[in-house]
Amino acid sequence: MKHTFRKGGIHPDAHKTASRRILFQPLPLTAWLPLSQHIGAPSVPVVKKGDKVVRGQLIAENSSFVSAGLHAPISGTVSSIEPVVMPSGKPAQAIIIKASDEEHASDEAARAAYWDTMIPNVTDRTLSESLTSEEIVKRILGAGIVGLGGATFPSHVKLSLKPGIKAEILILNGCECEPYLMCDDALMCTWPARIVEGVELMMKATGIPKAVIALEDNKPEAAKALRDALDPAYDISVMTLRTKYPQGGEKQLVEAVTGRRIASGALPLSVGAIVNNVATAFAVWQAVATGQPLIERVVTVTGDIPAEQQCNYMTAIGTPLSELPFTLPEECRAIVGGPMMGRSAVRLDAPVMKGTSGLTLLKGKGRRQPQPCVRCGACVDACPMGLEPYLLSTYGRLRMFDEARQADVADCLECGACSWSCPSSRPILDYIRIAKQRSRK
Amino acid sequence: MNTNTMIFSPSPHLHTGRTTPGAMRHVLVALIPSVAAALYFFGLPALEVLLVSIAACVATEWLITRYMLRRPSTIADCSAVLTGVLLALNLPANLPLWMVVAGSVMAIGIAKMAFGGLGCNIFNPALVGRVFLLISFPVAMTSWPLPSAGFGDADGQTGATLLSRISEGAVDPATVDSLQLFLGNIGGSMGEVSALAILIGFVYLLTVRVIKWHIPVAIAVGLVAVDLLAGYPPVVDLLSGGLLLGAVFMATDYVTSPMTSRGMLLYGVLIGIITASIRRWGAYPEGMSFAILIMNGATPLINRYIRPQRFSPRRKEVPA
Repeated sequence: MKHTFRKGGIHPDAHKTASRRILFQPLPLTAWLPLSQHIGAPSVPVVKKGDKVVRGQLIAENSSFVSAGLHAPISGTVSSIEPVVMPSGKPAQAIIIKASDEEHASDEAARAAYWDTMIPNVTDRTLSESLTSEEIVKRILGAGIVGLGGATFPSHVKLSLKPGIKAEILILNGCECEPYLMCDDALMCTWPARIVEGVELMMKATGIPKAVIALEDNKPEAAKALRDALDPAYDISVMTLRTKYPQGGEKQLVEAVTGRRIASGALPLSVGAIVNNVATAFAVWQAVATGQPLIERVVTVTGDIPAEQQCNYMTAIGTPLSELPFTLPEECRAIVGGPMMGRSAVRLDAPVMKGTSGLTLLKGKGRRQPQPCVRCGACVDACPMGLEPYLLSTYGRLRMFDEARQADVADCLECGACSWSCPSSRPILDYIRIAKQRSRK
Repeated sequence: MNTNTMIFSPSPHLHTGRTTPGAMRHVLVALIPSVAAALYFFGLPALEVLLVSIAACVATEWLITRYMLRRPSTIADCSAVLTGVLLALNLPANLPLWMVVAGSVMAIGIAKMAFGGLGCNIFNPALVGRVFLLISFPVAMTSWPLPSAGFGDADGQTGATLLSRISEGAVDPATVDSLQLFLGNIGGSMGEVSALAILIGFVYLLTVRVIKWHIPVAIAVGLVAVDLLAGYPPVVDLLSGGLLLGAVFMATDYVTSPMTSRGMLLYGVLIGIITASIRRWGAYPEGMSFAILIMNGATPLINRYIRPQRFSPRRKEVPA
């Protein structure tokens, strides 16, 4: 019997129909780089309008410990630092870099050469042994790496354990439990050895002796590729979990792997675990071994588009979403991320950011007309946190925020399993979000 | 890039595809064996009661939404049809049709619509209709046509149900033929006589995941527990009267049963205990309807005190 988390969960159709290949999205001629692509304080520009920058150069530095630097994904000239539109339609301060045709051509040549060296899966195991823990964390900090699973928490913070704090297990999240998305699957199938080496670097940085790469049983190819890439010198194992959404939720994953439940409001460290995404491990390897900061990532383009367009693209951060190759369906929702937790975009001229795992294009309005709640309890059964979504939603609608707090609304991870399972199509999560925000102390 | 065709909506952007009318239709499908058994055993009168009950329930709901509430009609959600079928299955096949209409109006008009319509009622509408008729017309509601399988032998015989005969001391429960009870060749309400037909429906509802096992199984457990204490044969008790019909189709009504699995277990066990207690020591030979209605009333309380177990242990000191 394969492990999974015990409470709640749902089984939406996977729709993992995109190719597992990773194609290279051409670099943009103009890159839009918002200063806040991570959790924590926005980064502070170290360039000004008119400055020449080269690909990989630091253009904004982290302003405090919980923050992340930003690097130029293309060579060119800083054309302005001004608010640009985000996918949500809201403006955010950003650095805009424009490249000339010559700069673009030389960048593309350098990029092709860089990735060519990546393709052979020859591993250099001496790397993680030759570096000190401080040096690894310093390089991760210098590369502006954040959690690439979507939460975008700065990685150097997670990997800097305070003196006296010991963690027992490093969990690598390769679940990709969101339907449609395949960017992590593609990465694990394409560069498994690089991911394993990234894991080894993370183990070295944190001093954690044991690591588990966890993925769901709908990714047998990735599991095999990773197992083949393992080095017996390290205590790393690949664990296949029974597919269930939201397995990639941090608390659910820690329970599925270790059997331990994290207390309300606590971090995985409270049960001795640190969780990172497999794509983050890959970025760590890139930063430490090749010196390339986080300037590109894999983005899945998928949904109700022709099969040949459903693919993964290695995309420079700052590339407008609209430059990705797809034909926008008539009357659709363009979702940045996966369909369960992703946000629907109102503007596609907004850029790909560090946390952008995919673009899911779904036809139709999606939502049905809500019907009266028939108290069937489907949302209660679906909730992975053991909450009462119907009740929290009602509290949100009636503005009973104190009651919502007492009913543990803060535990909600906004996975959407409640709204998904509601036969009356009620917007359960919408009201819970209101209750969660307004009941915060 | 034409951005006009893009629709903004909050996550999640997917939906299970299940609908409430869909669940109602599944229950209707699950009732087909019971309806067929009723028609087989009781013939044409059963069909009349069934059709009148459905028509009266749907008409009551339509008239109330159209002329009293002045809202869009809700009859398309199939819940009024379901109430009609369930009410009919809880009635004797020879009940005068005007009484069927009165029960339907009570079920939909008072028990459902007066409380605010679908999802807002506290008590199971079909059971309210049945109990209303039982209290108002006790003679008509307790003289049952004996089953005359095969439509032919319509000699108009009536008699008491097995439970009332046992209750009167006319029959020793230990001598009852369980196989005839199981197949349904006994007197009783239209839908309650064939345990086999009800169990087929139960398996169907479990298979399509419209209901969970908790409530029906807990009811059986509660009933058998009391029977064992009282020294009564549990199999006869399980198969007779409205127990199975109530356990599978009435007590599992979404609206009037608890939200959590643990709440459902408590609710079910208590229904079983109350039913067995009424049957053993009460004035009525049959107690299922009352037991379910009593526990319907207790459901908000169960929801309040039987909470789902939270994923997280309660907040502790966070090591940072």
